[in-house]
Amino acid sequence: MQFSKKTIGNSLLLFFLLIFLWVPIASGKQSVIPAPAAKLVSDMGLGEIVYFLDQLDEKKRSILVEFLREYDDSESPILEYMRLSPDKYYLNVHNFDSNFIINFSEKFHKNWEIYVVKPHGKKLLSINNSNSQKNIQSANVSDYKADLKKIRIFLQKGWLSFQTEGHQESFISKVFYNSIQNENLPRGKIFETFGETSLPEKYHLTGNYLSNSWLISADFIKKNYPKKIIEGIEGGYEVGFIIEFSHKKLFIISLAVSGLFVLIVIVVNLFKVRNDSISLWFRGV
Amino acid sequence: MIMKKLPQYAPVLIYGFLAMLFCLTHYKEGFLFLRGDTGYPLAPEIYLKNHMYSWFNTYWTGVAAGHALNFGFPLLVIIYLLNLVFDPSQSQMILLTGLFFASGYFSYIFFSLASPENIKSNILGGLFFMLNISIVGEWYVPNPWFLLAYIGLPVTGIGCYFLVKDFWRGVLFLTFGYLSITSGFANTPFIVITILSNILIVFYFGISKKINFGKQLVLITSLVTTFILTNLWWFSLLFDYRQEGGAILNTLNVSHWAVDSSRNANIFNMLTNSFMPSLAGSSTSYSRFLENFFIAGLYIFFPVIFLAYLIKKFRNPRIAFLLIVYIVLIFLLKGTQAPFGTIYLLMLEYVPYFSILKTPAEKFGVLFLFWQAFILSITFKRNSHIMIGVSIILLLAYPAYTGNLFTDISTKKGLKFKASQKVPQSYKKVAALINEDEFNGRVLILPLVLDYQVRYNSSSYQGLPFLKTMIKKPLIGNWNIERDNTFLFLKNLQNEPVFSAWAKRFNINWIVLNRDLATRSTKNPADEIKEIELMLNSGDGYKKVGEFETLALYRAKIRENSKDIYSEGIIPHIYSPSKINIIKYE
Repeated sequence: MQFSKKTIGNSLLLFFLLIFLWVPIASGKQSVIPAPAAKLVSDMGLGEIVYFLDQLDEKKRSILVEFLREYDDSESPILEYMRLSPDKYYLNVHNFDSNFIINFSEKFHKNWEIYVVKPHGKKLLSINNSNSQKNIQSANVSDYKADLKKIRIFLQKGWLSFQTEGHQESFISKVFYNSIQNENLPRGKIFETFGETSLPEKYHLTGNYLSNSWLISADFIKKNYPKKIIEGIEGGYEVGFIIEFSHKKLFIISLAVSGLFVLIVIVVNLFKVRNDSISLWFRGV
Repeated sequence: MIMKKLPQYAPVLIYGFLAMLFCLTHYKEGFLFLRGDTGYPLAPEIYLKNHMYSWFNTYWTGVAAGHALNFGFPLLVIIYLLNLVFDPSQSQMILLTGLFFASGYFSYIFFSLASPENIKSNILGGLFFMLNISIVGEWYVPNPWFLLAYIGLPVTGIGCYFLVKDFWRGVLFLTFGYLSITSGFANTPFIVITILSNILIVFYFGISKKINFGKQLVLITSLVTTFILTNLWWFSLLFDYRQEGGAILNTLNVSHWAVDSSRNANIFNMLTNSFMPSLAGSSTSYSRFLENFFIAGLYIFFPVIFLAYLIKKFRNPRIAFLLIVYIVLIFLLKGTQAPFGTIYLLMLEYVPYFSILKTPAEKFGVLFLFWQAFILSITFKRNSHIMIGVSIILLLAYPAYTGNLFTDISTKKGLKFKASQKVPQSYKKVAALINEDEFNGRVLILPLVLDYQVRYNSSSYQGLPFLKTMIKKPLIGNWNIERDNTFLFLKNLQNEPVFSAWAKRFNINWIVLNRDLATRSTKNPADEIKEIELMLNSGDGYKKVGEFETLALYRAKIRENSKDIYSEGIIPHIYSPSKINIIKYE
């Protein structure tokens, strides 16, 4: 009788545990993107962005309308960017003096965040031979690399920045739609966005059906981040950004916790702690 | 001296011998076992790097990688390290042999800790878990991912045993066991199954060692905490990942999956361990072999012996617990089969997240096998029973040591699919060219396919696309484009300007046109591929870089004015648009 009670008790407990064991995962609805107005959009220039009103809520629509009042499409700045990892990018914006848009072609997700920072890297007046050689040699292989002549022009215009130490010989692309991919920017630090505040989410819109698009108000930047802005070589201002998937912070913290835990377990076992108080308690000693 | 020492080493020699037989009969220099929906990383250094970030963008245009199919970070590290020393085909075989050995040996260790009375019955239990017909039947897919989850059960079982005896050693075993499951295929359901298994084992030890109930709860809390702390690096990310996963689950007809998975789980098949609806159908000689009623029926020997023992000794609480759990597992395993099959369907519909267990035979089946192996190690006392049991297991597991575990498949339609493959040079060349490109862009594989597993005619292959694990750049899958409506532009494969405009807007720099796809992959591959080629060749969007046997490689054209410093090509990953268009969609 005693054992039956115990067995039934255990089974009931197991049942309740099972109910609570289901991984507490948050469900989320996939945003349904309307079917593409393909032909309509294909007539637009590639450098243009398309916003579909159906993808924007009322608040974001009004922010977009407000933003457009101060927007001058003849004054697009030059962007210089580098992918540090699939979840982190560095970006310098050159020659801005009015509102502009940053479009980032990863699938829209609210966890993509953008931080305003000082422009990354330092300016160089000239470039060493090895860099130019590498770009010239590779020019035959890839059409996307900038040649020496173009790199010199970019340097004169102040569109390129470099890490202060180490390699300065990596890939530099041509200017495509006011954007340069420059793999010579500094590598940064893992923890640099910890404790920093990103731009408000209300300026984060879905552009081109898919991507993350931020409406950047020049006045907002000048007012809130005056120390992050410098004057550009050809007039206008320069500012830096970090685009990061906010999960990264959670990932780093979680990885550190997991790593530390595994380390502690291994170390404790290496020291052969036998008859520790926990084991003794379990054994009822 | 030898005769004295031999019994001590007998288990390791037996499992080692079987593993060596498996290795020697399956290894083929230069060939990899490639098949099925889980794949094997062909370029682990690339695959590993891609998995190191919380934003996993090698598929579609980004998936938050809390975990996902093949998100086996610990396993990737092992494969990467093995590949530093060995040829890929050697490292795959070392890995598979090691896992194969571990599945039996760790089970034996657990059983001998739990019931040290009879070494022979513990060896039998280990052999049952290592070589039972359900698992051998599923092994036709060479899947280290699955084996890792499989081994997680005995390793964490050992951990549960030590928690009471030597707490920190127990935590060590649990840690490795939980890391092993993380790398397993379909890891969320297997985690649930493994933790359930651990709880059952704690209760078993609680009853047999008379540990009070409060302490049992502390033990369960300890193992759950160990799991959470060991796996926090991906577990904490699950919350957002489920935005994707939840959406995928919503699109699946889980009832249909459950009914299909349960189709073999009648009482006779469960008693004979033939409950797993083999994915191979009748296409392998082994699955045809097991279709013989009398052959598979041999396995009824095991429940006949152990049920007789369990019923006879039911008054013993420890034995009663084993039997009750066995019956509960049968009930869960049978899924939608009568009687009370509706209960499982109702649970799928109304119990939150129960749908992750949409294939009851496969998910609960693993625990069912482990629990049976455990029961065998306790209930098989007579030498004659053990010898008969070993003979049945070895006889019916013949593919494992005759080189037929990953066998070729022949379908009724006359199609043949090879298990071992050499990745063609053409794929390697194309991957190398794409990987050399330093410009951030995406890769699109065409034509569109009807299934995420493709068939290549030239190499008689069916499985994941080779290039999926070989390319550094984000890949846009060519399957299930309706998934989130993002890539509907891919339906405009006849209209070059429309296609190119959208492809460039989505940063597609490279297009790989695969002419090797068999009919299952596309509706009419020959015509479709011809149309795509005509379309791509007709416009200014993309130019052909070269032909690599069955692959044609295209790259986005760029346009530039020699006097101007600005160029036109694909849209860069980050840019500032020159003009804004707002469209209201009706």
